[in-house]
Amino acid sequence: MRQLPPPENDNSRKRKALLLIFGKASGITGLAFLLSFLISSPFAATISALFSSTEKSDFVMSDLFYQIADNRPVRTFDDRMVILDIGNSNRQEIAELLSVVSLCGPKAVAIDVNFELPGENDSLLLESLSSLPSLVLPLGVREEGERFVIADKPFFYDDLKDVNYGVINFPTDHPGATVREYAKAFPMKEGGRLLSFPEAAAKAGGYKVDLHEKSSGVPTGIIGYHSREIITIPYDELIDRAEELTDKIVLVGTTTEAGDVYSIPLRRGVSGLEIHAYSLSTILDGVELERMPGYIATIVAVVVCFLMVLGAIAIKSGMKGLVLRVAQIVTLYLLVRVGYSLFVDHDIVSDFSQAILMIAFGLFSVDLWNGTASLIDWIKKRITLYKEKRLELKRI
Amino acid sequence: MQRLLIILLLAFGINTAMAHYSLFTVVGDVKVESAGKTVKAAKGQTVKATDYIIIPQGGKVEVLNDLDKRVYTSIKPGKISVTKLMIEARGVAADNGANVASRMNLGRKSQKGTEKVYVEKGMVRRSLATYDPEGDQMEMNAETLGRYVASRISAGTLSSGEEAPVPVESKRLAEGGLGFKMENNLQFPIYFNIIKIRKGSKDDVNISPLGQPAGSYVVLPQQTLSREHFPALDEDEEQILIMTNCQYDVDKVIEEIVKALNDPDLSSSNDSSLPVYIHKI
Repeated sequence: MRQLPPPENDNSRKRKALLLIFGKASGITGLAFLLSFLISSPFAATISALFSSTEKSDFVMSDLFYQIADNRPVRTFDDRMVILDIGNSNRQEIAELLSVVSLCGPKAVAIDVNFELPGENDSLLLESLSSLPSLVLPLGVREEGERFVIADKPFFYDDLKDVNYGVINFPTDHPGATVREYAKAFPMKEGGRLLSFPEAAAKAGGYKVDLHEKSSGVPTGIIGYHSREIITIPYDELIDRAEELTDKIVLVGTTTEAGDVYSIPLRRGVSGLEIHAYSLSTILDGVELERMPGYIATIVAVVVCFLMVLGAIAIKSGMKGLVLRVAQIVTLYLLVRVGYSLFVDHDIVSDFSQAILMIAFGLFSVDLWNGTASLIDWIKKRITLYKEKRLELKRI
Repeated sequence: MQRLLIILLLAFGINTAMAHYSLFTVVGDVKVESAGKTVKAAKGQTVKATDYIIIPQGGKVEVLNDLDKRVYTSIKPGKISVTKLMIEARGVAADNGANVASRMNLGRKSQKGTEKVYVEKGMVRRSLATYDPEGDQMEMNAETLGRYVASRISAGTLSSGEEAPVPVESKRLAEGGLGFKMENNLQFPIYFNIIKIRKGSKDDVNISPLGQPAGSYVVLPQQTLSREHFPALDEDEEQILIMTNCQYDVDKVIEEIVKALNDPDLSSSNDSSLPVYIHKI
């Protein structure tokens, strides 16, 4: 005798329903991830709509953390270095300035000015350079394969002895992009490694610097721009403020050269010299900002997306839309809040942009899934109806 | 042993009270009250932990603590001791939640009109050398120019009657706007810009819609420049043309004008030998 299956009790039904929902949510989350690889979305628009941020085309989440941190009413005054702004001084004037600098007892002098071609009466310049303690001069490099060759150097490169050189190139995602990192050392084609300009300045100032011999490629560090105060002395105030250079690393250059301005996470129009100063300050701190491993951000993205999708399919009440939108804003706030705390309290640079992206894609995928399921149901019903009609007609 | 401990504690206390604090930045009419005396705050001024700083509305003060090498900022108007200022600043800096929330765009829109932020400065240095090889090397000192303009405003001697060295015409347009035309019949380039000043106000000085926010206008010899702004301009604002024989940074000049208007000592100078012509259009 055929036995009827035992009636399902409530618990069993609930468990089944729960499993169904979880299964559906997992499937939709997977779809959302797939879509995120196929369609790019300007997630930055979402975050910058909710949080005040300067409008930049290559905005990343950590830029917001820099801006929030820099807005705090406490900054660290960096008395280990000083910028000497030479403005539009010509070569003769620079030579005179440097001769004054040598009398001020600096610890090291790093000059971010390239004297590419010889000029008239360079003897004063060369004499001034020779009198400077622990001098660092800039070099520009060009990539050739996986290594680099010197592209820009001073005319006296092979002649002046006891000079340290530092590479002034910035590592960026593309030309004109925001400068967020400093290079540590460049592997040279002829062998060996050349330190970057800020690393060379730190070394010249007597600070311990890793030569990164064992690293591959160009190792980089994240620049800690936020909450720093670096003194800049205009060249016409040098004599009155000479004592401020004593025992410091002096960075010499101009902050107003039109062709040497870049964007940093805090603002646009920052000179290369100032970026070197921020990098040097970060190096001298000895505490590196670490990037959060990518897989953690991915896990957070999966969890956040899953929860959002679960809410979208499990909540049946009419308030579903309101609940989801509030959840979206709250999640966005929490991601920024947690990311910011990691940044200021633990020196960890996180990027939850994928999680933000996944919230948008998750909800999009819910609509896509439900819509597709409804479409398939409708097609099935149409086919069934059509088959039934045909059967009826045959009978007739 | 106990006596030694007390002496050490006392010495530490005295040292802390005498610790080196100095005013790193002073914005506005900030005052320092020390030992019963109140003096105007100045950048670099040494202060004690027990001194009081009086911050006006819109003012700002930054205190550099030499001990921990930190700069503490306060913009809260009122009277506050140096120690409390640093403690409060530290508290605000440590409040991550409040710092994040302060950047959220959830709230009422600003009641002010469109705020203009002049951060793009015209980099005219290279091309200016082509226009005016001599003028490229000169720049009118913003402080001097700003104070001079402020003195003219304070003295109420801004009028359209001043003789400009070149013909300047201005006219009201049908919709309430304003237009001007300048002809340079001199043998050298002239530089000018147009700012707007709200009548009766000491702070509302800004670039005019007819002005040039990036750098300044440069009109070569035998050239004419005209510009028209069609929408109606606020009748409470005066459009002031400032003309010189070399470039000047209009952003810095505006800053100096406001500073001088708020300080009678600064706006009392009126050096009529300056090669500056001010023309109300």
